[in-house]
Amino acid sequence: MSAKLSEEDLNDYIAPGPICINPAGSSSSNKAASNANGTPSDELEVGQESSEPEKVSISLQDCLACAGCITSSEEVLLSKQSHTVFLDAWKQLQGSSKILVISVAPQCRLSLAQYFGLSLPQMDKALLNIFASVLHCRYAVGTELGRVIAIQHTNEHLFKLKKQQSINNDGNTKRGTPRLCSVCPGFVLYAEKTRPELVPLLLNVKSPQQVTGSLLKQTLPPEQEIYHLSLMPCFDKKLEASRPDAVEEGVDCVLTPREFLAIMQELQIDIKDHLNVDLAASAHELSPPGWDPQVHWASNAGSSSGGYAFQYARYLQSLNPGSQIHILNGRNGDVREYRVTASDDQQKVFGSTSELYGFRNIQNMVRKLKGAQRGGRVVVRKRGANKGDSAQNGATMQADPYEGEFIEVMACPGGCINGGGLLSGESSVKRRATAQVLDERYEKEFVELDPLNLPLGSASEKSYEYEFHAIEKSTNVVSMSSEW
Amino acid sequence: MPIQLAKSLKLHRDKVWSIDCSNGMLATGSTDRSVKIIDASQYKLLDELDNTVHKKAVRSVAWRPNSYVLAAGSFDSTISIWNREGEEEMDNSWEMELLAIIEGHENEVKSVAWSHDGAYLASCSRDKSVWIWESDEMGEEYECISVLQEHSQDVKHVVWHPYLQLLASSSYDDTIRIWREYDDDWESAAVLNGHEGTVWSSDFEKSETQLRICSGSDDASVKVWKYVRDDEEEQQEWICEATLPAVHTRAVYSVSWSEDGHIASAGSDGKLVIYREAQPGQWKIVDQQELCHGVHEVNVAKWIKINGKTMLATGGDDGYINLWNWDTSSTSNKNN
Repeated sequence: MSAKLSEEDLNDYIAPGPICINPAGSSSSNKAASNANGTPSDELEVGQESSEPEKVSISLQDCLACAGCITSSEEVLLSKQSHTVFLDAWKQLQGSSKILVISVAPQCRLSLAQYFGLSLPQMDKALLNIFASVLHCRYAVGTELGRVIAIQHTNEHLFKLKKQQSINNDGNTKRGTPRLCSVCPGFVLYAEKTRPELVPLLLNVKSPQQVTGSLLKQTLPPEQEIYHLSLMPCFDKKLEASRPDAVEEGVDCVLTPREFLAIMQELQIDIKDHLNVDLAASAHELSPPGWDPQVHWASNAGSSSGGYAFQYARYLQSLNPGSQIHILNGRNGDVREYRVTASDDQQKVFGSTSELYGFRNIQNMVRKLKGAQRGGRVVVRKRGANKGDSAQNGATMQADPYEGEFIEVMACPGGCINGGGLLSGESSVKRRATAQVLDERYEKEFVELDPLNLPLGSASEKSYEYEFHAIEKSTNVVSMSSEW
Repeated sequence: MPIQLAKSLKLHRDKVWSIDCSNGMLATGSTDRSVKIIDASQYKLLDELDNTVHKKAVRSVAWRPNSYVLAAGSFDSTISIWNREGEEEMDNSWEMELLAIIEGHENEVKSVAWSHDGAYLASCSRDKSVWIWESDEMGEEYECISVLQEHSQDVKHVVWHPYLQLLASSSYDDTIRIWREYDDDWESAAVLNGHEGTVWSSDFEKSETQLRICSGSDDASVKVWKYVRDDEEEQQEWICEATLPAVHTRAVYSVSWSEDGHIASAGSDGKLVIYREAQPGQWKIVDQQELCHGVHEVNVAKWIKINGKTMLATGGDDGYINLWNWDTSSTSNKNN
């Protein structure tokens, strides 16, 4: 076998390159730089790849900027925002003027409750007591306030787009491409790294984690130094907190219930010692000035991933008196559409919004949206084939997320209630079963508020937006991926 | 009667990667980006698929059972679906037309395979994933019903069980994974650990009474694995039942399990080897052929059936398809 191969000659029998393709300062990054300046070559150097990559330390920021695989960054991110890193930082806080503030996502509270065999109020009691008496936390909040703002902003953004579109279309009924929820950092990173065509479709509203961070900073006096720990259902939330455009919100460390359990073990915290407290009193005591515990510890109707799609459907319904919401299931349990139609005429559609979870459904979405953007289908029609017999049968309505205005996309199958950081067991069978139980409990046990009718004042006037950008693959990456 | 070359066909300008046979029709895929359809009984080239469809090598071809629908997976990261035009007419003209192009994999598609009932198409890629697709009735639109990401490296090969809805994938991570349907999704049912190098291919036993699979690896070995039971975690327990007699000196790229229980293997050393199970779990070499494609590597070996007769087909780096006669009855041992 010759050392140089033309691209057509690509051989399947060559070993792959190193897993992480971000060797800052190593020899291969020099190679990338020279390649980037020179003209792209058709020929690939194959002999070089066997050389061991130099060991270099990689920061979380490096991982975010790298267009390589998402999974290989997990190890790095775990080490940067691990429970031991938190405990070290926490020890430093003792005796300093910096205060500890903890925010908790609802899925985490439920996961811990399920793990310890407790009701949600029991778990909340224990959690608040541990926060206050063991961790000496000054403020502890739920993320519902942040979520309500995320929901309201989502609705406003979508409504604005809808108005623009109806003007542009001059009454034409053709609808636009749906906007995609950017609350799931796993999906956002996937889009930015590997599906640049989706980036313009991301609806630019920050997640409850980040909005909560911002709200806390707005509430507390600027001179007050804070350390913000956020308990979240998945590991990708760590990556979100360390985005360059998220630094302002000051979420210092994101931990999952799995890691919180490790903290409990390390600090020898027994859950039984923390069950007997007055929940209302401690929730109130740990709430920042002006934060109503009835609000920030609550949840809202809709999916257990935040209910963004459902709340937009409700919003559309409120704008169209006499309309009704149809819930349409997709071909698997992870696709659901909420279609708002006139109650007397189902063909009269005011708008539509969907939930779509899991990588397989994201893949179908990518393919469908790509076809839509090109203005045609990817599929080549069979010559002379008679289509349309089965196509336009209006009698039954089927979920069609791609015709709607908004898709609540979550990377995990089952959504956030199946987040990788939850205490749902190791085997896939166990995890699936637990997610189902948690999903049912989620609907029953949380106090629900109505995010559409909650006045939020000045806090909601601020804009909470990311700076999305498709991460360009470096020349280095391109050559890597073409080798075998 | 030992292995005998029945026919040697120079079909491609470059490496032959893949062969599949159905209804006596051979399909072949090559680095030269073309796919050829051959009437195997007459050694007659029937059609050459439009070779501008794929921009890079065609790594894998697979006939959908009981049809003239063909899937071709390419290094250009797409899968093309073809159908025989006017198949109802049964005339002599033979032309494959493009039905669909399936996009989804991030990079090189390494293998494609249809389930026994033709309901599902599986594909795998260097992007480390295995995808399962379902088509509409026309076979023109494909929806991804599962993306399986448990392999930690390049997935080289996928194969379905001949009767069950079970899929096996072989990977550069040295493992074979077994996948099964669960609810509306698919999941990993087992991981087969034991090879000390890339697993290049695997093939299920064509048995209705026991569940076994053979595998060929970069470690130059061929192994047979057996399903034992489902454990408490509902995972399938498999054991490595046998490592076949060592005969290959280099990587084994392809294995095939015949309907009458013979395993064939071929690979980098150019050898084609046939094994038979003398005692349960004990295999012996019954025949072998050196230099199947001259000095070239053999990328694929497959048992095929032509007019009811079992033959072996091999494809090599020399661009040839070789068809081999081997009389299974002459060496089979009926004593046990």
